[in-house]
Amino acid sequence: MTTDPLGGPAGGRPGDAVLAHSGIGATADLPIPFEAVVIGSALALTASFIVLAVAWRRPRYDGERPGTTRMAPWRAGAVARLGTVVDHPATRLALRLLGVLFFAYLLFALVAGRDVVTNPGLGMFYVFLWVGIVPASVFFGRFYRAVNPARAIHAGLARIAGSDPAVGARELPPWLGYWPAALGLFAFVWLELVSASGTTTSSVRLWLAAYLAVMLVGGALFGDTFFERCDPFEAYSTLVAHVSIWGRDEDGTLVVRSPLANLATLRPDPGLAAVVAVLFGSTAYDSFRESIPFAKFMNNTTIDSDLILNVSLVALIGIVGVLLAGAAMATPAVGEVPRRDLPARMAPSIVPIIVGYIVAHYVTYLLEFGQQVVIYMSDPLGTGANWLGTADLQPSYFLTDNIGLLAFIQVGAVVLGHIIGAVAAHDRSLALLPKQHTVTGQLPMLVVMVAFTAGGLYLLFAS
Amino acid sequence: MRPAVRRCATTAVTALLVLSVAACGGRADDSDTSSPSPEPGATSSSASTPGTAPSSSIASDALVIEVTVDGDSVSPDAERVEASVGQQIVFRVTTDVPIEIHGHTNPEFTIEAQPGTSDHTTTIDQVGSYEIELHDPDRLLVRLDVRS
Repeated sequence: MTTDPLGGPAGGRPGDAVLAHSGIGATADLPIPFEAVVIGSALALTASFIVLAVAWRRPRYDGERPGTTRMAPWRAGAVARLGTVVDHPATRLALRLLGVLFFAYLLFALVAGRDVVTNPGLGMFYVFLWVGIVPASVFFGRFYRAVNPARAIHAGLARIAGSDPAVGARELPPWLGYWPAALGLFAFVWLELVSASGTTTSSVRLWLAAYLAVMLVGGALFGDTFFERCDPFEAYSTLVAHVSIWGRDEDGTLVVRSPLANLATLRPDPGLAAVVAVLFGSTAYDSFRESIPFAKFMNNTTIDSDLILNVSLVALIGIVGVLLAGAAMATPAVGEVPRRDLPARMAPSIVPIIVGYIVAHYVTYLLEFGQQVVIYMSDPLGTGANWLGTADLQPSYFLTDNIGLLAFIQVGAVVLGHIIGAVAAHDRSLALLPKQHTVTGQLPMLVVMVAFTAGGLYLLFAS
Repeated sequence: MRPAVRRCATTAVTALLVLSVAACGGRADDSDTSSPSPEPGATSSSASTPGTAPSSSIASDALVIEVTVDGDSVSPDAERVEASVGQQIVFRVTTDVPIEIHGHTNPEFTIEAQPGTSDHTTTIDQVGSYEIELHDPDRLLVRLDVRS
């Protein structure tokens, strides 16, 4: 019988070990049917070859050549007027306040609340901040950039000091690219998925304190650009925003265009492939560690379990990175593009695949466990309070209860992500590969994409 | 069954009277958990001889999961098991040491089993996939897929 006095209604235990997803008490999804894996993979494979065989033969979405036909934005005038509202100082201030308020509430719960898994600070961090970034950026574009609390504090400090927040003491070296963001994202997924203390308020507090400290010092040294390239959440959000319909043209005006055109505008800075590898590899790891074969292995090994978890996470990220880089570099590019730049050039094509898989993996976590977090949010101190009036609500488990619909959404998201990714990769290949290799040169990337998709679907079945 | 376990079985019957299992459920509004003190009758002991008909408190359509801890050998070893919402789930535990079984359900449940053979009954009222672990050291016993 549950005797834990701290448990509350959900029976949480401080520091309880690995659980489904972030270990904060969410119910895991039932596995998708094996037929869904087969059908989904077959669809992905077929779609890939259809794209290869019948799609256009000249690049349509070339970010470096703005004259390319399909880059033309939709209803530029009306959208630009919307842009003036979005970019209005009052809107920007309101969004920044929203971000600061969210973080202040989160930190308040983590500092003043009790160290139990029902502490809403944990749910806000792992569910709303981490998983919520994806839909927020798909629907609204560069969401985190607008609400980033580090940017808000940085701007506030700059105002007090009377300096320009965009200008730092020095410039970020260009070779650094997205590598700091990849490192920051790794630090996050390590805390969430490997660290045994990822569900304690003290570890999350420490992580967030380090994050804000690095961001503020970096912002002071290098100016606003630092957040764009080195803030893990902002880099993630901006990456995902490139599969949305919202973009910016050369002079920063808001435009609406096809996600494919948007993806082509992603600057292929160094480390972009690493960011993609961390995001995809860690999500795959989350499924993998919950699979039955892995659990059997863990039950019967004498090797230290922390070591296995650490090695597994790094290995999965490494496999994704090596496959992606290998496929991108398999065919030498035309002109002056060096081979080592190819992974970053092809990485944007993987972004839709990642988004599809993340939707499949986290949809119930966000929509159903997210309701539980809203309930917890009424009682940040664990005193039985009902500050927001949500304490007595009951979460709806509509998706989980309708398993057929859930499986359809999961497989549909993965396959749709794959198709968009395959089209994007095709278009990139046409721009990068020499004429005589435009078809055969695409095959390595196509094979890797089908492998990612089939592997992702298999993990939804096996875990 | 090992002689030591058999010997313990009689003692276990007495010991089990003080044991109770949190009748866990999928949701907090689960009628089983809403009662302030779970009935000790939710826990019953099985006879020491295998093959004896189940005691009256176990439903005929109950899912019986045999959990055996014998020295270092533990079974089941990370098996996937199917159950239905509301189905009675009986953990028939045979152990030579005191053990703790943890159900990562919502709300969670804990079974504390003393040496011997004992039955621990629960139901899960929410569709989902749940891990049932043996604690210290943590081992996955079963992954319970609960369908409607």
